[in-house]
Amino acid sequence: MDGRSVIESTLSTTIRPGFFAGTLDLFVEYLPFYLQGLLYTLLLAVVGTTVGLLIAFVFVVLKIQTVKRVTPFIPKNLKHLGKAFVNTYVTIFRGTPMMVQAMIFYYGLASLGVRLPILAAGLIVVTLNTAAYLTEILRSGLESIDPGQREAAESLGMTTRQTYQKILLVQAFKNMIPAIGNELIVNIKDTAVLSVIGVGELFYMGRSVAGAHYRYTESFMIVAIIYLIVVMIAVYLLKQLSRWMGKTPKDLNTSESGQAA
Amino acid sequence: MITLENIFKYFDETPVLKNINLSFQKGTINVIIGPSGSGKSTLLRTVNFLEPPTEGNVWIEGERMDEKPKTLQNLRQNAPMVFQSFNLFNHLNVHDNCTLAQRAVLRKSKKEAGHKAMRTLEKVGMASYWNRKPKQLSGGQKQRVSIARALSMEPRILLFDEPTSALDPEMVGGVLSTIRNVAEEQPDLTILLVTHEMAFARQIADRVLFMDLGEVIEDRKGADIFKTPLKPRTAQFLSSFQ
Repeated sequence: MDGRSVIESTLSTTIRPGFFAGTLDLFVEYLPFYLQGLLYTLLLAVVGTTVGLLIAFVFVVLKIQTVKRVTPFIPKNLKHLGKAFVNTYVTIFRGTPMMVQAMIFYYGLASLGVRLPILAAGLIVVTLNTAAYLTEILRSGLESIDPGQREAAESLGMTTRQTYQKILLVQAFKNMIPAIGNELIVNIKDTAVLSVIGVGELFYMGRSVAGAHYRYTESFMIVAIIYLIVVMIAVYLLKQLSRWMGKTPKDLNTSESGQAA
Repeated sequence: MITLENIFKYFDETPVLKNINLSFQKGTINVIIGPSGSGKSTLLRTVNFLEPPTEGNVWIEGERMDEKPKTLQNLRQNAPMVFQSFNLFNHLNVHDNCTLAQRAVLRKSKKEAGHKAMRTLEKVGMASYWNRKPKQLSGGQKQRVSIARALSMEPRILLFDEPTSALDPEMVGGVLSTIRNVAEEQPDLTILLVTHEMAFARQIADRVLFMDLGEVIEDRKGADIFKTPLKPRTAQFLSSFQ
């Protein structure tokens, strides 16, 4: 989405001098553009975090799978390959700025003749980046689970896959909701760097408006306030979510009396 | 029937089990006692391969244990374990703790698994707590639920790894009487019990084994070991409980 040409058609609008008056005028005049940018920002953050989480579930399983003495040759090496792939992936994506990743991904593909829509490129970059961080978050979540949970499942005859699916990943996910929520909030803010390849998110829109009138402080003040409000709403919603996930019946009667079998 | 054949277990270079050869007959209650670090819990954990032995074979009802997923699943479902630290599934309520493995391993329907779960929970006196989460239960209640969870699998073997060691003293009695009831109601069940409850061992055991430093020092019928310990090490250990 290129807001600049649209903005240029409204350039005749006069923006009053002075910080407060100017900010107000920009806000009133360009609200639809800021909202459009916000929509893209939210789309990138929500899709990136959700799809990134799904990928992270797959990656973390690849990363932590156990190779036993009796594992046959081919599966054993496939497992080693899977682990190596995820480790390399995580190292690269956590070790480089998302801004640089976006540049390489978008212009790299373009030089190979693949022209992705800018928004699609932005979505892919934020998703791949988030997957790397969430893989590590899920891994530490899995490691924080009492080994007794796994032993109990295995001692009842559950397979490794069932143990992960029905017990370990479920518990890790529940414990990790705050960390996953944090990743969403980081993404709301950090997708600003995708403006570097021209994704029309909030920062990009703010810069377009600012450039059109040379009113940088005013426009970015509006952008900052919108980010702040949206992040505060997200924090509130995530708090409600973890409260809802963690809720348990109130009446805690743990008295042992009269219960001896 | 469980047979352990030339079992050695090393943690890194340290030997924990040294050439264990034992058979446990169907329907017997076998109690393993011994000081901490004697290898008694490790021995129990080699039976269901939570700790696969470094050397040697484990046979359960004529089938040899190995680390193949299929074998582990088949043999473990018949020999579930009750742990010292309960290990109830924290995210599931009491009822679902007892149905999860029935559904996943035995492929039972939701309804069938639920019926079985409630029947076993009644046996251990926990049926009215069916919708509680583990963190809402006392230690004794948790352990009775974990016994019900194991029994829900309709096993032929039950492994108890110090089931009362993590309990407050006033809760020990309830769990022990639950174990006694289970043993009385299901005489075909083969029980391996690692415990420090000597009085209980004396009442319930068909056979008592004393372990020290990774070896079975003394292996006696009934409560004989308590009356006439044959080895000085056994006598010394038992005298610390007087």
